[in-house]
Amino acid sequence: MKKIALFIVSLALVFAFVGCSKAEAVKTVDFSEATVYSMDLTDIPGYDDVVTNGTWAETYDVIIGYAKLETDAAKRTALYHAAEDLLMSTGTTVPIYYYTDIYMASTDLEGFFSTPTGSKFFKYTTLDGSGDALSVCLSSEPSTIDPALNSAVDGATMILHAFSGLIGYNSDGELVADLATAIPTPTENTDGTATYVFELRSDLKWSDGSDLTAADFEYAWKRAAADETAADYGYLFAVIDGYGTEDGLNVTATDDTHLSVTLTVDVPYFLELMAFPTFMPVQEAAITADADGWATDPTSYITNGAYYVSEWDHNSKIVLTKNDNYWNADSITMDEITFYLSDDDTAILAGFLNGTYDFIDSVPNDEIASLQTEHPAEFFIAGQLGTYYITFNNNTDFLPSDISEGMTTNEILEANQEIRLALSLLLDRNYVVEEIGQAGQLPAASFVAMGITNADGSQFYESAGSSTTYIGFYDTAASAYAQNCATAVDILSKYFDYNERTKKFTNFPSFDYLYNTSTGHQAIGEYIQAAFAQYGITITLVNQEWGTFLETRKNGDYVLARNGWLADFNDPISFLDMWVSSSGNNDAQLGVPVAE
Amino acid sequence: MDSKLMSYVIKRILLTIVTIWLVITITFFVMNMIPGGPFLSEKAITQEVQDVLNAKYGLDKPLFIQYVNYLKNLLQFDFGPSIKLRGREVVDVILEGFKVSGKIGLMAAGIAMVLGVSFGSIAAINRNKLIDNTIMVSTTAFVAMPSFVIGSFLLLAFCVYWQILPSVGSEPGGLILPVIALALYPTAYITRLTRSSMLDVLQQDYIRTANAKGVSYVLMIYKHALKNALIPVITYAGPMIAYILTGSLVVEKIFSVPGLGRQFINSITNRDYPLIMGTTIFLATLVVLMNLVSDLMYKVVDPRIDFS
Repeated sequence: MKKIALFIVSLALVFAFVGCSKAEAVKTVDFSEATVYSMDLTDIPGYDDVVTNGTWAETYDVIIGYAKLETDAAKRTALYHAAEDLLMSTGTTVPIYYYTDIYMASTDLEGFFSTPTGSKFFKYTTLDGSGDALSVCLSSEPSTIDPALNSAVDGATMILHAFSGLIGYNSDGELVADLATAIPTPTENTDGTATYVFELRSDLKWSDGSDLTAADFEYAWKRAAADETAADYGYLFAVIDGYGTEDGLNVTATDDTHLSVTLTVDVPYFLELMAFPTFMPVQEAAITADADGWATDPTSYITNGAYYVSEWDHNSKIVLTKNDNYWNADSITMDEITFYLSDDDTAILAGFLNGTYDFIDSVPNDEIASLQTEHPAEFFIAGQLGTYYITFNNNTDFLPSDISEGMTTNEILEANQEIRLALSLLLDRNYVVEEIGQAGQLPAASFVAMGITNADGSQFYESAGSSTTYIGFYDTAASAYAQNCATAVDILSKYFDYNERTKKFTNFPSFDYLYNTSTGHQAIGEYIQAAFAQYGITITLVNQEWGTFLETRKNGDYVLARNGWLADFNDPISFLDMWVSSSGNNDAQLGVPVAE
Repeated sequence: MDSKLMSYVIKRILLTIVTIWLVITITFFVMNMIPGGPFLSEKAITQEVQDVLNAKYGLDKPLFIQYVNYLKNLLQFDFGPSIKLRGREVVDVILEGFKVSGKIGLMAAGIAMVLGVSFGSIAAINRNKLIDNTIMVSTTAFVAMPSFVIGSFLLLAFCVYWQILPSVGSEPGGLILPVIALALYPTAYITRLTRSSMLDVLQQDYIRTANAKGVSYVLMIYKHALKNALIPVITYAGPMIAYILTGSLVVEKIFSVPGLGRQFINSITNRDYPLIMGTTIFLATLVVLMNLVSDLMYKVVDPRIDFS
């Protein structure tokens, strides 16, 4: 009898467990055809039609598409904001903080500056008043220093010392004409395109002494934009008319010193792009001689900028020596820069502390707080155009099945949006930046990063969202956190059972938080877990090795995942473009049908 | 060389080839089973670019065809280009790394053998005396401590606090600390191995006989005891040298040494398929060959060993 009773009890337990885990499992629903968005953007021809009849992805694609073609800068800014509003309304992207860039520089180092995209400039530096030699350590061996193929920040820094474009940065970090005699004013064509004619300085030389002409730019750009080159940043040339067509880029060297470039539409960041590594000229002869290996050996790596590579001990160091063939060599104060190559933060810091390096670009996460107090004069926090955020999978359905029964797909979609937005209110971003980040990051309330500007030069993030009392899409002030949580509870109570006594939800399905293996990401994951657990929402932390993580996230095999984005140039489009349906970065699976 | 030994060596070399082919095959297919690929990054590349790259590195073909192609190229000693280190050949990357790792490894292995055998013998001869206990305690500590602890400790002490040695491997004198860090574990291990095997040997009848016959103590230890005590050491030394020569990720990272160990691990993280294959084959070949060498060494130490 006892045995039978025991059997029944265990059977009941098993069923309870199965039932429980079933109720807790989040479902996947195909939201790609759902439409719920309405906005007043009636200026756009055909826009109403898309909003009424199109999908989320179509709506977003239309806004971004129009923004890219809009010639009026103010209108373009308005479109960017509309796109961000639309994106944030989905609740899939949950901004946590705006990135900062940490580095340590010797107090003897003068004349250093960095750009918001993270490139460091040592050309105009002196060390203890002398310009003999400088030792820096930014990272490990760059994957490539071919200007067309590079897509890494450390590679960009080396390339920008070795190469020089039509436009460059002066010693104050401002964009000025470099190989061009002046920054040209574009002429607007009748079809809306804009043409820039750059006049190059005469007598420009490559580091091997041969002549550099406008044709070298035409060659370099067409090479970088060509599919065969397989450049990560080839798409940056999409601003130029003819990109991706059979005719190719609308770029012509009319003579040795004139380069004519026609843009699809004049964009403010075009001049910044001219100073970006991908737009540097490269020598055709060097590449023809060894297309794959030319950028791996000092003898074949012909440059045109302030420096040439005089020594490359792979995985150990790259030595740059002043290039006397550079037209503006007189302005370059540092004669030799050694880029040491190391990938261990502790080793890099040890090298800085014992004086081997005069500048380092990374420090161990655990040391940030103590370094700030012990080496205040050498520790720097600079702004960076980036946002650390977490992403919900748009196809996840959090609703318990008894509630979603009888609801339309659109209603389910709207409910899930509300749930995601509510969950994002439960996070205390001040805690994350103060206790975990510890590097002067700013709590983020919008996706497009701090530092990115509107057409009038004002901060984009400051005009994000529609609130008149706070900046962004929710209030990140520490004092507002309690109210945010109360709002979240109110919203979630519409769909889930809330126990007033324990102040916890009793039937919120548990889900996973996916992040790539790193102590910093883990600490944030643990915080999110704790913050949600306070309200009875259970998440499990799942960490994966980098390559596996990228694939899992890209395929949408997750519910909530870590994410981050750094802009390549100062324009909101460098953030917003990643959510269009043709983008490979749409990890939130917005408008992506559920895989069978 | 007698014919028995000859046929043994030939048999072993044939076996080596089969072993390496197995390693190649398993690595190739397992490597392709790991999620992720060489072209994935935080910022996704366009499909067009991905297609061009896949075609360039032959990754657009069915896996089995890729495998056959790889073997074909390998027979011509063509390891292919690295995918992540654009424009560089796998062979160059390996040889460059091995030049450094090999140099450090050889020094570390030499130190480990000489010091390990000496300390081990001293400990065994002075069994249970103070010197034996000291050696045993310190070797236990070095065997137990992971290399990243020892490495970090050496880095902090010698490069940051006292600043008497450079922290970067490529600087003059920069290889001293990596060699010490690499040698500590095998030295300690060999010491313990030699000690226990020496203690065994010292209790053998022939040692007592030699002793009774009045053979001098030093001669007895060197000629009779040590030679026989070395067999387990040789067994350990073969693979140990192979591993130490191909570099240690931890030591190379801590002391910024441009060795092969880092390439081996990074190639996997980067899913740099040709480099994974190249470094694995290189390591496997070295391990198998060192095993063969240590087996042949038995014969030198103990002529009674019969290879048939």
